[in-house]
Amino acid sequence: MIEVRDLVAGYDGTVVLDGISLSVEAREIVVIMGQSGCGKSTFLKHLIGLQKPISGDVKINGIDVAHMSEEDYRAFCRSVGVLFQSGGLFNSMTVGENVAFPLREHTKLAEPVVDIVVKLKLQQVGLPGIEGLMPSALSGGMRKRAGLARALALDPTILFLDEPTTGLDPIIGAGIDALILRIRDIYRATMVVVAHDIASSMHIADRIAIFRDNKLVELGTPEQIRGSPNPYVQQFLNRQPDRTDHPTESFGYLR
Amino acid sequence: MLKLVEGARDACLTAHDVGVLAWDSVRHAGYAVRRHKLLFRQLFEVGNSSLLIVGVFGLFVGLILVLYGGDQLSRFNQEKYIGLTGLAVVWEFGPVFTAFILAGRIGSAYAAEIGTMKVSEEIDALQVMGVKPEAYLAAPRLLACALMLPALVVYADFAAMMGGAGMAWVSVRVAPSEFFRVFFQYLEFKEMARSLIKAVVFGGIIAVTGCYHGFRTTGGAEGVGKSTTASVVHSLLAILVADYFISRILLAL
Ligand SMILES: Nc1ncnc2c1ncn2[C@@H]1O[C@H](COP(=O)(O)OP(=O)(O)OP(=O)(O)O)[C@@H](O)[C@H]1O
Ligand SMILES: [Mg+2]
Repeated sequence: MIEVRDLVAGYDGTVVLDGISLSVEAREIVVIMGQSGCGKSTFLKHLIGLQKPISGDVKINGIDVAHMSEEDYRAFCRSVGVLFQSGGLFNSMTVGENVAFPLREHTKLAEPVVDIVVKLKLQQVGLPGIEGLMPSALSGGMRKRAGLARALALDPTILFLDEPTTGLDPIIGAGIDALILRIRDIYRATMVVVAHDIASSMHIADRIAIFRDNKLVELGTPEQIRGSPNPYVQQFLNRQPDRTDHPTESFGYLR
Repeated sequence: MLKLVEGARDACLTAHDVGVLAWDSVRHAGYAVRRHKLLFRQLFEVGNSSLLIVGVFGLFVGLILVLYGGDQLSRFNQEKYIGLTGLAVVWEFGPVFTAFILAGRIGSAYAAEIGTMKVSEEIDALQVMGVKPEAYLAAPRLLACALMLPALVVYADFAAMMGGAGMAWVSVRVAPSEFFRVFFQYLEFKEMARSLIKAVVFGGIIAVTGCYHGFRTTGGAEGVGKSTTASVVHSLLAILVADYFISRILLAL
């Protein structure tokens, strides 16, 4: 269970998140949506304690993540899986070593068992047999999925996924959606997912949160979001561009 | 005036951050020893990559010192004391030049490696897997530099003595045996120890400066470039300043 109360956050001087309150129940999938640069990744980094809030707090199972002791944080990390927007793979290690990293760090599994788990996790994300490759040899979508495999390595009970399906083709993307739902149902995991794809979000989300201009403007089940009277939400769902009538003279100067 | 106050405040904050990083790295030295593979890789990296250049550097320092020293001494007909140039190598040239080479080769590489990891979210990933970046990245590097620099200094001293002995024969006709006899007659054990203590401190400075600039990198490839340059400039400065103070303290003992 995740509780965010009046979270104000930003980078030296500029406020990026302004008074966000949101709670995520156990075994719930909350999808965060919003325009590029509105602070979704920043929000996620506050949920996992990587960045400290300016004010407000984030509590996971009743513990403030920004002020945990080193041992508590380590134990917390054991039960958490994170996929970063850029994948966050260690570029100096093979994909297999990347996925094995949390296993070696947190468990005493024998090496052959680690190997099996690594193969299994890579299989789950649709990348069987690539454990020997270096991350630099992967495509963008493959890096994402390899990052997802690493996030799943310890069978976490809480997952934070930053755009797991962005940049994937529709078929693989649908496969990842199905995987997310299966993980929730089998492992009883709680998830916060950042996503851009509306159809996919509607499919996987129990609730959707829409961010705009540093604020949380709408929160509800996919049906509630669809029926929202908020014009911005409707513009967002229907993919309408802003009406910023670009003066046509600004095109064509170089012809 | 306000600028000055702000500058002083920034300097204090930086000093504090560097101090915290240094202390965290030392505190986690045990982790680096337990994960000996990490440590060995860093030790190998530091030692192996600098072997040739440190040797050549040392050789030429020896040649140049004896060339000038011999010229000066021959004016007073005291060429037989040419072996004393070796003491200057042990006191200053060995530790300082070797540290300079390492700051350029190793410190900058640390800033670039860790900076790249920072901008590609690898450091964040490390943290959320419950691993302290100070323990995993900084501690092995600090240990590797602090342990390897003294060894490289002895090796540089050796190369300089070889160059010096050769040059002494060529320029002022002092036999190598005579060169080394004078050198060892005047070399005291505590001078050697002083030189090695300096080397350990310089190694620490190089590693901590490189890691510090790596960790505070922001803003993509350009940021990595800036960090790399800053790490070299700052470690060169810090090495010389530290050299002065260590020399004063050790000479007073
Ligand atoms: N390290 C940083 N330093 C300073 N400002 C930052 C930093 N990271 C992000 N920002 C700023 O914070 C704001 C929110 O960034 P964030 O990465 O959270 O956006 P996002 O919603 O994840 O966008 P996207 O959908 O493009 O990933 C942006 O305006 C960005 O300029
Ligand atoms: Mg983002």
